[in-house]
Amino acid sequence: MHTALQQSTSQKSDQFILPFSFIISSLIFLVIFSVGLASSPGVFSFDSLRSPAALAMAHLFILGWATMLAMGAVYQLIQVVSQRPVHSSKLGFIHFGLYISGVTGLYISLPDFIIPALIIFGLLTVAGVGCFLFNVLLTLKDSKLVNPVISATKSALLYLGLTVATGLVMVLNFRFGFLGTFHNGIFLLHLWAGLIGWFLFLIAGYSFKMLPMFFLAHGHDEKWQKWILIALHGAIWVSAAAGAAGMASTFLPLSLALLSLGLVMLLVQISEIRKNKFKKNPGRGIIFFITLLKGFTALSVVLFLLSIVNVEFLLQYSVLGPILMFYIFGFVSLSIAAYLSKIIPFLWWTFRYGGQVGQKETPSLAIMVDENVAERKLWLQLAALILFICSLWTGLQFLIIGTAILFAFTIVFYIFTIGKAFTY
Amino acid sequence: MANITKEEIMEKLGTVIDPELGVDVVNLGLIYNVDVNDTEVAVRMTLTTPGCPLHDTMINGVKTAVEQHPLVSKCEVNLTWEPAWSPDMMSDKVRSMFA
Repeated sequence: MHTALQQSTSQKSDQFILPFSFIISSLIFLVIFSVGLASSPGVFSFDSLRSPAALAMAHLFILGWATMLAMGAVYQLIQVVSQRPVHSSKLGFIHFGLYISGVTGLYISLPDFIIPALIIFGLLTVAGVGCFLFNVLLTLKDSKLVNPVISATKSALLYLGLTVATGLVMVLNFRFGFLGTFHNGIFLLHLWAGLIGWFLFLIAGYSFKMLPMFFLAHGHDEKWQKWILIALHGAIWVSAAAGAAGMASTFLPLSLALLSLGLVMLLVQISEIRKNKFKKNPGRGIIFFITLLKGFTALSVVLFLLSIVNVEFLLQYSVLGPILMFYIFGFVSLSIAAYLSKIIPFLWWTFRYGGQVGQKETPSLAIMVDENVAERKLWLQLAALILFICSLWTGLQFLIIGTAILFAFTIVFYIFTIGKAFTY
Repeated sequence: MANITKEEIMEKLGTVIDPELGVDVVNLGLIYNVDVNDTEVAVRMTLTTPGCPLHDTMINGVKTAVEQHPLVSKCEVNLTWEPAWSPDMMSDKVRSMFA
């Protein structure tokens, strides 16, 4: 009998509860972020992006929403990628407890910059991430598979580890002041590893695996996958090395060139998949993701060209701020949200109806989330974000308040649409 | 006592729907072979891709559906990747539905 059939009921239940715990918690953190943004719309003003209040909100969004959700998705999808169950569900739940305590504590203690609390909660977060890395890496080791999806996952894990480690070093440096001029290099590595490394490797790697499934594509050329990963690694390490050598702005064009190259190749890879597709509609959320990726790639190319002409212009807070906001709140968050329109129905269907297949009629995944409504709400969220960023640029308080509330509303509005899957 | 026919088993398998594609495993061309030996049935099948997220669900669904037949005492499901599934294996009706 196949080993998969021999798994106990509790193992199967854990395989649902573990990713589900992360996904539901991430949505709760996203709602808290939305309420926080609506009540303090001025927190992200471009000249105070590194203020404690802005850092608290940014960390809540990145660690509480985006990373928490990504971890839940990894726990679900690693089984697909590795063709193995998660190495230890128990360790997964320990990870959940440590991480959620750490992130909540960081959010509470960051606005007042309470250093001892930051160290304690930072350590809890690090311990949680450590459990996650250990668990997923052992799952991959058990599987023994070697392919670009596995490489992308391992790379994402490496950068997540580096992000957390550099974050902890920076917190300790605030207390003990041992980094000196290296602080900026560490900060750059923290940013690139966290924003590009952790998120982009996951988005790219899982797109290699999931898009052919959604398009029902077979026999497409996969040669680009390896080069995409190499270009993205290059972008990060050029920037980190240049930062450590105090030459960050000199080498920024090279980093951006590699990033743009990686993104262009990712689009080429997706077009290879689409050439061999058998299903016209992979889901409207997925179409939105591909369009968003095209937009982000275009932005990356423009930034590369700008960096050649005038790199100092790019590094002003009034330019860098909107770019970072578009990347985090737009590209990363909306890509995750778009994939969520597929992940949540699948996860809930497997739990609710998986045992009934072959006995009685079960609903199709397509009816659990109205994909047309989901796509419209994703566009609405993107439009609201762009308006919010533009209003921050104008500095007009009434516009900032109005657009912040609108952006917060569109986030919650979208959650309602995908949350409807749970009513089936 | 009546014998179990392959047609009856295929009919049962037709109730197992892939929830992502909304099509049953027979019309998707996932069933490679059905062997009936007295009251025991062996099904050789594949999935659309290795590491399909519905791996366990589909295998269990096939087993359950076949065992719904009143004369079947046991169903064994053997998953294979040879030959690899391709869209050409789908029925014409389904292929035109996706195109």
